[in-house]
Amino acid sequence: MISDISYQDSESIAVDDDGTVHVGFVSLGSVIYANDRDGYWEVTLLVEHPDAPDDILMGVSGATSVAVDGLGNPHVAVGYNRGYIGVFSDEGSGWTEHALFNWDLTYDSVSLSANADGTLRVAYYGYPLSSPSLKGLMMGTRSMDVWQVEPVASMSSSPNEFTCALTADQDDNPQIAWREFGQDREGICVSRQGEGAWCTTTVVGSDGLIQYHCGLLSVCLDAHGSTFVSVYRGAAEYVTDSVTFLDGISSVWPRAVVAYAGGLLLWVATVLVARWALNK
Amino acid sequence: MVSSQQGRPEAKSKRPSTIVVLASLALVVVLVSTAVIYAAMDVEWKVGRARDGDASWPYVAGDGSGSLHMTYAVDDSLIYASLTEDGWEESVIMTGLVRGASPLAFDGNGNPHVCYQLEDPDYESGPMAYSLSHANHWRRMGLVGDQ
Repeated sequence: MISDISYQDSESIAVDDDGTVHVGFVSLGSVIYANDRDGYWEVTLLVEHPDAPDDILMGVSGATSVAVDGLGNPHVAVGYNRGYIGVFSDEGSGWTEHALFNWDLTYDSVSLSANADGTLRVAYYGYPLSSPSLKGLMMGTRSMDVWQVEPVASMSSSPNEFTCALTADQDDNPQIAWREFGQDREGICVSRQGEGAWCTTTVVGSDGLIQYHCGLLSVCLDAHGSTFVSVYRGAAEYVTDSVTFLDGISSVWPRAVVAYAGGLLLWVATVLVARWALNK
Repeated sequence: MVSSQQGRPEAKSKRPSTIVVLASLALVVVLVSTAVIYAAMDVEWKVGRARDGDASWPYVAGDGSGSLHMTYAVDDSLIYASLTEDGWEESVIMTGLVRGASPLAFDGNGNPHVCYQLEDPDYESGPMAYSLSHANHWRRMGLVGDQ
């Protein structure tokens, strides 16, 4: 049966504006893409396993990540443990692969997003060939047929298990949630890019995290721009950010305006009180 | 005339102290304002729970309107939950064991679509199934590729 998933948590799903469902998964070491057209699954074998069918460790091993761009073109990313990420795209002339080479793709979790203009982003763990010291969470961006790779968060030691999930806010600033289990540390972090710089925050520490039955990491944003990340500590949980003060004002600039206005009022009041006290 | 000349030095000595006091207060206000702004910008992460009790393989996704939804497994059921004003509301996607997380996506009408791996106790692998919901009614659309 072609739908047999031989690698747990390898499946991914996306739905385009026309309601067409796109799925990706790894079946017996091969990468499968399928879309549902009027109740019929159209199946495409993106990568056929090169070795023995059961030997998934020798070939494709990773989770798939499916995304649909603004033009309705499907894209599928999958991590190979032979040192690169395969990103497949069907942009109207059949499926083509845009490999993103990466010397050490130790962990097969990749997360793909596609913008309205067809720009692709993929998050993963590894390091670029040119800079082995930049080991950690990376993000590749493919625009105009060229990949650009940038380090997101460095890690001093390799985790035992790594999973990531990529999304973007309303201004198209990428946000990556990632979870690691390792000998030195474990937890869930969120890396956000704003004005070109990445900022990483640990959102859940090791306390209570359970490595098994946690599954894929997932991230999304709500209508207010708050980030939600799935968490498993024995129950179905999530972690979200909220504003410490001025709660309810979600975006940064309105918060800054309110805060500055408050500060200005406080300053004027202080001056008036000081002048009154000095003239008394 | 004499009393007037005696009064001037007192006025001159008072003006610098006023400036110093005001400047100090302004500095304090600036520092307080900076702290308020920093606090406003500071982000606190909170853990929420969609369901009390054992539930595994949580997966979170937002729909086109920005509402929050999750899938997770409870005993032998795959659950879909939506965050509403009254809290989390659950519905059963299907009854049966699943393996791993069940990714969730939404179409343009806000209908949820879920793919999941059915647990096959005899094998490490298991078939991939797909379900979608219209008007809070879930339908399993068969096994992916099994046609």
